[in-house]
Amino acid sequence: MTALPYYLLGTFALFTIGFYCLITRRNIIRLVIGLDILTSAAHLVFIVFSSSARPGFTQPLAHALVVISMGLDGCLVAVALALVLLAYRRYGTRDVRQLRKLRG
Amino acid sequence: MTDTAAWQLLLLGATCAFALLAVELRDMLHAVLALLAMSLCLAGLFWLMSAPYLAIFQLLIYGGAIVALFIVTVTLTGARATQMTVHRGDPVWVIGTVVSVGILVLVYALIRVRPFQTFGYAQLPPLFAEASPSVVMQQVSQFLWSYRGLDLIAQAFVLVAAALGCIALLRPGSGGGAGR
Repeated sequence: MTALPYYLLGTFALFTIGFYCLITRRNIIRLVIGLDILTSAAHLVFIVFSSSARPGFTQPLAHALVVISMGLDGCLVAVALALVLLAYRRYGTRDVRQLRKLRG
Repeated sequence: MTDTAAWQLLLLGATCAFALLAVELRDMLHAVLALLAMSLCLAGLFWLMSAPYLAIFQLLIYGGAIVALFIVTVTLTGARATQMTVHRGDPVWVIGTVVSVGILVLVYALIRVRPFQTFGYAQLPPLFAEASPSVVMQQVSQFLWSYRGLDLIAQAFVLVAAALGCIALLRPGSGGGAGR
């Protein structure tokens, strides 16, 4: 029996953890961590699918796409953390609920 | 099940465990270190899945740059010992938990009902020329620099835009009071 269903289950468990973090946490840094986990799960499901056709070989196209996605995710996290720093300096809080109340 | 598959499943379990720790640990610095451990496990998983480029990129970008950015942010905001959560019993918490568990149950049911084999595009012939590592490396390079060359150039522009955006956001007097 192939182990693909187990990999998929683990990958979607990772996705669920990221989603749970986004829903239940209010610390804005923790939300960025949740986004990071979500994108890692997306990368993993891509590689799991692309390496399932032939054992010991992953498609180069999947490599290329995930490498590009990793670079973009690095940009996303960098800008998000810059915004976190900016919001903290401006409003003195990291709580997204308080930040939502501050909009004018 | 082969030894490699067993190691892959072990690393997958460790990845999920460290991800959960990154979400649940109260100390933000410990949470970031759990995220680092998750990245290391994921890099090992990529390596075992015959994706060495991704393992290296995972270590460089996630294990290096992103974790460093998180540590700097946690240090600058003094956010170590704060755990702001939505209270249990809050409608948002209930809905979030139900939707999260629902997604997992739905995926499990889908896998049980119709086992996935592979994506349709996986049958494209040029992608399966050889299975030797050197040929895989050549094919990855070829895909990155010829077939996906435009994407890489666009990504370079996005990287520059992100760097300029961070500088603009954090420069003194940008509205955040950084220079005061």
